[in-house]
Amino acid sequence: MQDLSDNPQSWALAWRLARREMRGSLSKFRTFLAALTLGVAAIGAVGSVAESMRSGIAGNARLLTGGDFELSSLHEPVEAALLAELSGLGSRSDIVQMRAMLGNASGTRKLVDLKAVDAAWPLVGTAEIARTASGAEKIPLPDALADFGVVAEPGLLATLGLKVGDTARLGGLEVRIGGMLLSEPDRVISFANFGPRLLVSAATLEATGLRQPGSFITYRSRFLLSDPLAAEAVIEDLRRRLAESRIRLRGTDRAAPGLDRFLDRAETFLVLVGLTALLIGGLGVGGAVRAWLTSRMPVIATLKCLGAPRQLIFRIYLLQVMAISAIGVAAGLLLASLAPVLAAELLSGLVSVPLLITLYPRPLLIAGAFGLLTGFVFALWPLLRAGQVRAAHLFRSLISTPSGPVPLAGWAGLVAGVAGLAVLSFLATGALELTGWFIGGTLAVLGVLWALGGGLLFVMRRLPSSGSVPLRLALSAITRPGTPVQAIIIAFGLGLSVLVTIAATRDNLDRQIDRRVAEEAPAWFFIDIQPQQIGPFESLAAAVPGVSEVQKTPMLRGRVVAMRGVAAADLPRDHGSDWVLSRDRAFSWSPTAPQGAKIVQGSWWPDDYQGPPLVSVTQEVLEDFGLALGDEITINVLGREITARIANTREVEWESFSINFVFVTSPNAFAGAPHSWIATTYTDDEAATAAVERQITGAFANISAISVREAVAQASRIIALLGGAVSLTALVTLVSGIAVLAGTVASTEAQRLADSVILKVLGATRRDIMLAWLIEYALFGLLTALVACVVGTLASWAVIAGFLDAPYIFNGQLIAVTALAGAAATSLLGLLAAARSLGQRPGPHLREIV
Amino acid sequence: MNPSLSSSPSDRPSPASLQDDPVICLSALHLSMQSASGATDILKGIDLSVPAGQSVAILGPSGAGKTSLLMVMAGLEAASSGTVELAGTDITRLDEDALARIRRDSVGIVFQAFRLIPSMTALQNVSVPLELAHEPQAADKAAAALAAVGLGHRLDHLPDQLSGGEQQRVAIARAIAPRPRILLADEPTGNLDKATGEIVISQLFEAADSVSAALVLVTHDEGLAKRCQRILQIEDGRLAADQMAG
Repeated sequence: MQDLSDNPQSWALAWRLARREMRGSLSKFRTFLAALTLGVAAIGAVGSVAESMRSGIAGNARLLTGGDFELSSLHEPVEAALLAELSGLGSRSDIVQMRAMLGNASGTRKLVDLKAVDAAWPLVGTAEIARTASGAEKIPLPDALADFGVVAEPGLLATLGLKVGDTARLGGLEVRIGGMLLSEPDRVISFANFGPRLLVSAATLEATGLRQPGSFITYRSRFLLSDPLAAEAVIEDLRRRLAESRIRLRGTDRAAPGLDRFLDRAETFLVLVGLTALLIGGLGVGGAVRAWLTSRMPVIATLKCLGAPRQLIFRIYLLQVMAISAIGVAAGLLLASLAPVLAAELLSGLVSVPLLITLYPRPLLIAGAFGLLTGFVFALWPLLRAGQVRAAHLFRSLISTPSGPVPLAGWAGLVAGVAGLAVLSFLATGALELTGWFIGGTLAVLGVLWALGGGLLFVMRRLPSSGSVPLRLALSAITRPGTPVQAIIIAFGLGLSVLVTIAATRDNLDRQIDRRVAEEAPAWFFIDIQPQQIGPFESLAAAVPGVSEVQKTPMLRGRVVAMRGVAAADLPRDHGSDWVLSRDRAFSWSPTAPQGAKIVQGSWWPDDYQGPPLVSVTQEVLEDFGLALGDEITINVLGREITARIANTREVEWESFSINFVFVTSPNAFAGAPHSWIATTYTDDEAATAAVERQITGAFANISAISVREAVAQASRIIALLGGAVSLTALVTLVSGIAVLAGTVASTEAQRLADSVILKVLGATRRDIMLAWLIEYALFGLLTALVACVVGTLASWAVIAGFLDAPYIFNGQLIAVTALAGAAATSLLGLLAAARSLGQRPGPHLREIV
Repeated sequence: MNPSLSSSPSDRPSPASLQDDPVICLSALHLSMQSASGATDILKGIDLSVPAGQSVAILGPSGAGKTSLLMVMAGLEAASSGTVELAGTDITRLDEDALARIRRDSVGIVFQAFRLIPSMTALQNVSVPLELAHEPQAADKAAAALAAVGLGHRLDHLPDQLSGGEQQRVAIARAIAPRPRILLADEPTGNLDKATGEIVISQLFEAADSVSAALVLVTHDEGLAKRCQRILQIEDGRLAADQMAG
């Protein structure tokens, strides 16, 4: 006879037997399938949508860049000689962008994002302009912009009560509404902008008088090369030449830089969400496999009696689990592959990048591997136990899940599986450290939940016996050996904790913002105030009844090119202050410390300081870049490099909405540079708020007013989007939790059935048993809520008090309601799942038991 | 019923005419079980030898150790002391997989509760031990074994589509299909009515005869025991009587 355990054919035999054994098993794997399908669909969908957006960006790179490359600069245009040199390579379009106010005949004005275009714009694609928002009666761009015509977004016209053909005021000019802007080829994101778009011609902009020295104006020149193949070489040459200049170069490789970054971060975050769902779902997988194997114990024992060795039995059931995993994974992948179609519909209002709808193998392969590996890792333990079933028990109908040490090979398989999951996580996110922290954090939270569950169980086991039979039954069900209470607390507790964290954190943020806006924030920021206007501006603003305070400061924009002698490109960026280097930043100068500034290190320079330039930086920037007092910072402003030594550091309270700058220099640093002023006004009431804006923008056509309230509303919209994404985490994990709950209830169904049969025989009614189960699941829910309250409150406190350094406002009612609502769902779902056992008649089962 | 398999106790060869080589050999067998209250002695020094082809009934009151003795003979329970030889192999120190191979090659078992695999058809159930042994034409041999117990027309039926008697006959076919040298049966008629039990028992004897297997069956039924060539009486874990059937 052959030695079966060494027989290479035994996989084939295992598969043959597995196929037969699988008959009718699929219905027992609903939990398992749901958990895997959900997790795989989430991970695959995120990857597929991100890939389709990247493909969309890559496929439309010239459209989004507005040509083969773009040169941009602040305050002043790119040097004419350079533009002339590059114009010989193909066509060129010049654009000017700035903030401005558009007003209607009744004097109402709105902040707009002004874009002045030349006749060549757009070099790639077309702008869609029409007479109505529905797109009827298209208007050619040149016609719309001719004769001081402006083209505005439909929402802006609706706000100002304007229609095509009306007149409006822009700066010092009366303009004609020439059309509605329905789409703009080089605009990527449409959900995070200060002010709606207003298109004008370059000639109109000149006539408005808005272009003033020192105003915050961005000049862009796009180039479309006659020989597209030469683009790479031209860009490379320009990159070298412009490395240290004030001019920024953007090629088609960075067609949508903001969106690229957002996409990378969103993908990482959402993949981790999917991974959490899959990890929690894994608990469901483990529970379902355990329940299923418990029902297969007699078959396993029979196979052993017939001579099947342990390894063959392991293989028979492993193959079944993996085959069923493959079904769940396939369903998840099907959903994931359809995700780009759904996303194209959902995102069409937010992002104008066309999604390329096709199958993306890489994210689908990674998601599929995640699913199969999760199935393997979480099923491994019960499968190894299955091989240990004692065949001898067949003679006594005493088949139970074996316990005892798991072989070393089992541990090795588990370690390999977990390592595989970690590698896949890295492949999916590309962020090793973040993934490591996330997995570590998730495991730590799971550990805390496990410990809390264990602690509660410990306490409950020591409670005195109750006189109420249903309560006693419920307590004994919760505290009996092998109770699923910890699994339920983990599975539901994680999702519920995230929900409580989000609710408490958002509540805190809303309260903080509301309080600050109400008590401390200015009503308006006024920008682009010319130096000669600042005196009259201050007098006019201060004279408006109800204006309590006017603050003003000069401002320029420039780019940090070096710190401590190290070029910006070589500075460390793995910290929270990397944004300081990412684009041109605002600078100010002052003889005295800004109002309310808290000096942390060093001291402010004397009022009449005339020595080498000095700079004050925020303490955070100093620490993040590893700087010290006395170190040099070099800033490029309008093509001129100025180096200043750090004289002191400040603590800045950004959330106060007052005028704050990362860098404030001594007044002599930028003496003579063309600049503008920025001012804030504080008002006592709504009437004063409206009046000051009306009077200032009426008197100074070039000054733009930014409403703090609108800025906060804009920020709130972005926070709401992020909050929505985080809530998705909670929901996905909660759905996985439901799958786990169903799995754990299923795993105890046999025991529950036996209990209910015995209780019915002893005279218990369905109502008695139902009451006991209701108490049992209510207790499960309450325990989970309790744990979620503790974990969620601690987490939101850590975010608010630790991360944001703001006072924490405890809202017990909100936390309790959130947790209890989740707990009620736990109880109800658990009870519904368990109630199936109640309908069973005792007779047949009694014969089985006896 | 296949007439070629029919036999009665009187037709069966006497013990003296059986081959001398024992297929089951127990020597000074002790079996203890550990429990929370300490060790319990189940079997206390059993010496027993069963030659090939012999039919043996084990009688005794509940808790006497009958089923435990059968489990030791199947290699499903390890002796606490003493030796157990099955088909010439000392199994006392074998690991679980080696014991599984011994069962696969030499032992067939029939349970009171049939223990068919519910997800497999009758044919597939009977094929399993043959496939485990990598027998060629396993399905054909399984079909022949089912035909021998009168179930040639029920090959593709699932266990829950068969009556209790039919299920037990499938179990007999499964036990005998690999032509084991030892056939063990634990209360094979315990779940059946008298008439069905009669049919099943006849087929069990016929099946054992057809492959010259030693048949050891545990029963409470003295009538059934008398159909065997040898009757063992177990009391309190000891062999109280060992007699040949009259």
